[in-house]
Amino acid sequence: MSKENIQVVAVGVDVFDAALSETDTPFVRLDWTPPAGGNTAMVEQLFRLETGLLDEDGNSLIDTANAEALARLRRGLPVLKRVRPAHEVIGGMDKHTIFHAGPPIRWEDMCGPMQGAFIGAIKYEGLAETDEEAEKMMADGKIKYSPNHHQGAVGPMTGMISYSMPVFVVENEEFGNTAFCTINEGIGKVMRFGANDASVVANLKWLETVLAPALDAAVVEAGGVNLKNIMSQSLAMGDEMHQRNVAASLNFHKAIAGPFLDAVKDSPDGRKAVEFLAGKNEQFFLNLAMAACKAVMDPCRGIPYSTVVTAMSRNGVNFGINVSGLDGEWFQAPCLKPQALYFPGYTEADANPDMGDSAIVECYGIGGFAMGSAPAVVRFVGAGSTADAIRYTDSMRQICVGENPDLPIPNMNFTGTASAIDIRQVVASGILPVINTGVAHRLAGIGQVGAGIVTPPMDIMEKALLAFSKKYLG
Amino acid sequence: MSHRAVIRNNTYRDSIFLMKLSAQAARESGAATVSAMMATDRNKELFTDSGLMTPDIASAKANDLAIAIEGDDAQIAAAEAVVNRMLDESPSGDAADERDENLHTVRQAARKNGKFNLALISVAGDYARYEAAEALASNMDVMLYSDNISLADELALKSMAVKKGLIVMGPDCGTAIIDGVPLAFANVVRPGPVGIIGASGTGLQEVTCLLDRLGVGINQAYGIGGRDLKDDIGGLSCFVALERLAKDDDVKAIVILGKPPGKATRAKILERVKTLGKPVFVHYVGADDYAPETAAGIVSGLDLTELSLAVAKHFNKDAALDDNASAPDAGKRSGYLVGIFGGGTLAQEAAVLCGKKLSGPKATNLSVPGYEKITGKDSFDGHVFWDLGEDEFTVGRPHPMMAPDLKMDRLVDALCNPHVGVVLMDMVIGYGSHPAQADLAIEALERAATQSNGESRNKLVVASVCGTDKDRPSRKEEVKKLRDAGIVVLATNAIAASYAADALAR
Repeated sequence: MSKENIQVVAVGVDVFDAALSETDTPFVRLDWTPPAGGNTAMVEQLFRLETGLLDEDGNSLIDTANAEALARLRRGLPVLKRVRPAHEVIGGMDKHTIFHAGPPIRWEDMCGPMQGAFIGAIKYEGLAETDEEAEKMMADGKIKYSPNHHQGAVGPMTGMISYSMPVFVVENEEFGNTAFCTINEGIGKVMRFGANDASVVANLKWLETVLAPALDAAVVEAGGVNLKNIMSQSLAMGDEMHQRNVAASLNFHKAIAGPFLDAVKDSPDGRKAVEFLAGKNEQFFLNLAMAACKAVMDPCRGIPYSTVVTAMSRNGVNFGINVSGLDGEWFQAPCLKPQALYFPGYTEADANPDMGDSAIVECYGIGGFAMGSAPAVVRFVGAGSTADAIRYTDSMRQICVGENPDLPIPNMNFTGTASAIDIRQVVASGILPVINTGVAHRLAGIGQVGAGIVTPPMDIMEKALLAFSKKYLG
Repeated sequence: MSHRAVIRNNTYRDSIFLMKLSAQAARESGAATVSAMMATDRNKELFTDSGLMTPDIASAKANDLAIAIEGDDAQIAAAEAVVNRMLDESPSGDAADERDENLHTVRQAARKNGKFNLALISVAGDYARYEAAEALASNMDVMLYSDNISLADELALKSMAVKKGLIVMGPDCGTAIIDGVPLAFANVVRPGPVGIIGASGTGLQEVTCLLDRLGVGINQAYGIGGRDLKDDIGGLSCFVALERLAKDDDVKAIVILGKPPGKATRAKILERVKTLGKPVFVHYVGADDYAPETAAGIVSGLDLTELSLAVAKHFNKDAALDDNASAPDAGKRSGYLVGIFGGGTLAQEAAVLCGKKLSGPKATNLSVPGYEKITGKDSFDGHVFWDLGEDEFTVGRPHPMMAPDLKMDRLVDALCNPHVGVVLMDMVIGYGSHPAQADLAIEALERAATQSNGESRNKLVVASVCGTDKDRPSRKEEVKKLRDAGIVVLATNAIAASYAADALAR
C-alpha cells in the first residue's frame, strides 16, 4: 500500500479535511448518519456479524454467501414452458386445496378481501353453491390452505391458486426448478381483490377452458418464452413490471403472436383471447414477471450465512419475509398501509393493508427498485417526480448486495438495477425496500382503489437479523 | 486479419447500448470491426451482408447476443475483454457522478470507487467500531480517531484486519502520516527514509517534527492506538506496520514509540526485530531500563528528543537542533511548577523528566511514578502536571489542541497563584490544531497580569512548540510571538521540561 497513494473515506468530523484537500488526496466525506438509526443494540449485532464470521483470509462469510446468492440470481434463466391446471403441476393438490398470498394465516384472522377470495375459489371449484356454505367449509376445516410460497408459487393480491386454475409454469433453466403463478384476470371485478360473484367465477372458467389451452399450445409451439429477456427489454421501454407492464405485455404477445393466432383462429372467442392478452389488460405480464422472479429467487434460498431476502410477501394482515440463511422461517409483522394516490371517490380509510406475493419482483430488482426506469409510472405510484424515482432506484443500491447488469436502466447510464436485498444493510442504513403496489378496498370484491408505494415494517428486518445472529453466532 | 464470434446465450441488451459497446470495444482494442447485435433473423442478414457471419452466429437464437470481431489476435482478445467488461459490469461510477449522488455508507463508497483504501473515522465509539468493521470488510485500512471502544471490540477489529493484511490505526489514534498525507493531528514534514510506529499521538508528532527539523524525512508514520502494545492486543497493529515497513525498500530505519509494552508483546517485538534487517529505534515513555532492547541491537532513547537525535545521527552524524543555544539564564526560582499540556505524551514526558529533579509534593492527573494521582477538580499544594487532553476534560467538548480555552484558563490560574514560580506548557501546531494558539497564550498572559496586578509577570513561563516551519502558522512565527511576549521557548518538550525543573531545583 505504501507505493499506492491513499484515497480516503472520511466518516465524521470535517476538521481533518484541510490536510486531505491541501495534499490533493482524493477523499469523500460521507453524508453520515448513525447506523441503525442510532439503535445501539442493533449496531452491536451488526458489528458482531461483521467481525465474528470470517474465513481464514478475514473475508466475511456473509459477504461470500451473499455474493453467491447474487450470482445465482444473475444466472437465473426463467423460461415460460407451459400453461397447465394447477393440480397437474403442483404436487399434493386435491379439490379441497387452496393456496393463498403471503405468510401463513388462519381463516378467522384473514382480511375481508382474502376471505372473499377463498369463498370465490370454493364456489369456482364447485365445492359450494353459496357464500354461507363456503364460509362453513372454511370454518369447519374442510379446506386445506397454505401459502403459495411453500409450493414454489406466487399470486397477486389475494393470490388464490385452487385445483382447476391454470397456472404459468416457469422453469429456471439454469437450476431446473419451476415456479407457478395464475393468469392475470384482467381489470374490474376480480378474485385477486376479493370479488367472488358469478361474473368472477365465469371469467375464471373462461381463463381455464378457453385462454389457458390456447396459451399453452402457443407457448409449446414457440419452444418456450425467455422471460428474462422480455423483462430486460421492457425495462428499457419504460416498464418497472410491477405497476406498469404495458411494454412487457406487448413484448410477450410478440413472442407468441404467430403460434397464438394459430391456436385461437378457429375459436369463436379468438378475438377476445387476443384482446385479453394484447388489448385490454396492460398488467397481463405482471403474473409472468412474478413467476419469473419466483423461479429466479428460489435457488437463492438456503445458502448458509446468506442475509439475502428471498421473498417479501403480504397476506393483507401481516408482511412476511424469508431470508436465505434462515430458510423455512417467516419473519412477520403487521403490514403498513401504502403511501398511495386514490382513485376518485376513495380515501385511505377504504384501503386494505398491503397484500400479495407480487413483491417477489422487488426481490429480483424490478418494480419499486427500477422506478428510475419507468418515468410514466412515477405519478401513479405517488413518487412525485422522475428525479424522486431515480433517487428511489439509487437508494436501493445501499441495501443490496450488488447490481444486475442484465437489467440495465438506459436513462441512468445503463446502470443495472440493485439486486439481492441484504437485511444487514437494511437495518444499518434504515432504508427499507420500496415496493410499488396496488391498493385493494378493505371490503371484499370492490377491487382496486389506488396505487402507491409501500415498505416492509422495519421490525421484521430487525427480527430476522436477531434470529440470524442467534443461529450463526450463538 | 482474423474473425471471431462470441455468443452470449439468453442475454438481451438494447440496440443503443450494443452500438455503444461495439464502438467502445473497437476504439479501445484497435480491432477493425466489433459488431454486437441480438441474433435475430434481421440482424443475421446484417451479419451476412457485412461478411461477419459465422456458423456460431448462424445457429444463435433471437434471444442470444452475438458479437463479431475482426482484427489481429491481440486486438480480438482486447476487444473481447472490453465486451465482457461492459456486459458484466454495471457502470455505476459515471452515472453516480452525473447525478451527484451523496454517499452515505462506507460500503456504498467502496462500491462506487474501489480505489478507496483508507477510512478516517471520527464518529462516536458505539458507531465507529461498526464503521471500522465495514471499512475492513471493504478492504480499507482504518484510522480510528474515535475512542470509547472496548478492548474486546478493538481485538475483534484488529484480528479481522490482520487476516486481511490491513491495519487498524487506533482506537483513539490522533496522528498518522500515510504516503505523505497528514491524518488528523499531524504536521507537514519532509518525505524521507524513516518509518515510525507510534502508540501515542503527540509522541508521534514530536518525533516526526524533530526529525524534520534535524533534516531527516518520514516515509510512513503509523499510529496504532495507546493499547496496541498491551498484551491483551499483543501489538497486532504494530506488527502489521512493522511488516509493511520491513518490506518497503525506501524505509531505512524504523522507530517504535509508546508506553512500555506488555511483557509478552515486548518480547515478541524483540524477537521480530532480530531478523528484520533494518535498524530499529525505540522509546517507551516512562521506561528506564532498555537492557533487553540494547542486547537485541535496538537503539533506545530516554526521551523523545534523545530518540530523535539518535535516529537523525544514524543518517547524519552532525545532525543538531537549530535553536538549542538560545536558552536564557533562568536565574533561581522558587515556588511550585505547574505543567499545562494538551498533548498526553508530552505531559507524561515532562512529568517524568521533572520528577527526577523536583523536590516536594508532586501530583498529576496522569499515572506517573512518584506522583500523587489527582483529578481535574482537585486542588493540590505542590508541583502539578495537567494533561488537559485526558477524557475527564474532553467529555462533550473538543480536544484542547482544537479548542484551547480550558488550557488558557488553567494558565491564567497558575500565573495568578502566588505559590507558583514556574509554568511549563506545550503547544502543538499543525493540521487539526487551533490556528492561533500563540495569540491565545499572549491574551492569557495579559489576563493574568490584570488579575494579579502585574505579579504574574515575575513568573517564569517555559514552552516548546511542536511543529515545523512548513505548518501554518509556522513554528517560526509562533515561537517568535511567544518569545516577544516574554515566554522562554525551547527547542523540544524534553529540553523545556528539564530547563523549567532546573530553574527550581538549582
